[in-house]
Amino acid sequence: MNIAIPDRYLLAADFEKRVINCTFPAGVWNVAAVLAEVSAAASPFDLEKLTGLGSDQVREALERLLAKKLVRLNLMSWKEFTAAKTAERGLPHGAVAKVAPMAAMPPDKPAQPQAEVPVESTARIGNLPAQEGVAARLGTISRQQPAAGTTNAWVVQKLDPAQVAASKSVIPESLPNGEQPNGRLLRPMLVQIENLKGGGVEGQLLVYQVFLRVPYQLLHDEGIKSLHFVDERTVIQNPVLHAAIVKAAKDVTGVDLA
Amino acid sequence: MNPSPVLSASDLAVFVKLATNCIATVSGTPPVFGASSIEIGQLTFCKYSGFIEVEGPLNGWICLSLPAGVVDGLLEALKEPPGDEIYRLDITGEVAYTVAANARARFGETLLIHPALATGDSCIDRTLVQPPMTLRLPFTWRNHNAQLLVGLRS
Repeated sequence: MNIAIPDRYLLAADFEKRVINCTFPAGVWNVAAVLAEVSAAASPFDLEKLTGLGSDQVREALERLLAKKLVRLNLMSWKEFTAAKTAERGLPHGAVAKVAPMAAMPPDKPAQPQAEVPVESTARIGNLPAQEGVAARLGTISRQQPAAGTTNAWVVQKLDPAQVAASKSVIPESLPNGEQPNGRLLRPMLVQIENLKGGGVEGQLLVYQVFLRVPYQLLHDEGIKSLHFVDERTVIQNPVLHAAIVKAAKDVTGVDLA
Repeated sequence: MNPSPVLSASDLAVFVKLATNCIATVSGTPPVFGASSIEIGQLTFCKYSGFIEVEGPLNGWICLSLPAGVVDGLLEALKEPPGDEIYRLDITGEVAYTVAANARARFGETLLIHPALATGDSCIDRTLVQPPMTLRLPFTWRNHNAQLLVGLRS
């Protein structure tokens, strides 16, 4: 059964102490290791994505870790929730968003010679019979299954340092006099939308659907070339653009960002 | 075709899951997704790209854009010769084809999913249009940087 608001899990504060005499299959440790790596509350969907495990396996791993009190549910009281919301809305509204241009796609590693490909190489393969394609070799894939030998192969990708560097070069952390820039931080708005889907890819797709309703020209006119989901410092300063994002979020998700 | 009023983010995520699953199944190594972004304006494609065009409640395309290292890795996993341009284009298209075929099975007549297209020149297929805003989901596969792009007009 799908749940609208999935639980999120954190590593227990005394994990290091509790873990000493525990033994689990590697798949269970994968889930714990990802929670340790991300240092944030993660939904089962996030954990599926980050570990490559299936939903049932993630659920079982979480149950086993919960039973040993190695992880805990990320729950908050009403008071904590309202405090967090107040903090999110701490900055006043104002004028123009400043976003760094997208960092160039990092080169393929190891470097591959990018030989020019003749025009004729553009292929149309859509009319291939199914038995000639990968589909025939793989069979129909109905739901995500962990690939053989991949259950231990989890990796958490860090934010590309080039993206961070590019952002820092354009968006000041504070104004010269030490004040925070005026405007509305974009990140809390994105998080609020993403969380409607429990974060992860679904949350990001929902944000994308919201932004499809924001007039492109508004973003273009402000010189915005790329909106990075993890950028903590992007500020929406143009009140018209802010209002457009709020309206789009309301139209698509029903959530009120104002 | 009987289009439904709206396809949700969860429906859209099916394409991401199918692409992830296809690469993991072929190679035994799942892609690891990084921090996403919404790109406004010109995109940078990897050398090889497989496109799945959709019409109906969603209009646009989903693209798996792969560097030569990923394409060759997939070929090796399938015991095919790496480094050959024809095989590279073939596997790029076949991965997109597989995703399209499974998405078609998932969505039925709700969404018109066109036959997959493949390019090998770091460009969008000439029959497709790049929408003003594209969701970019970068990922790594065996230390190679690749990306899944979602380009919708509505």
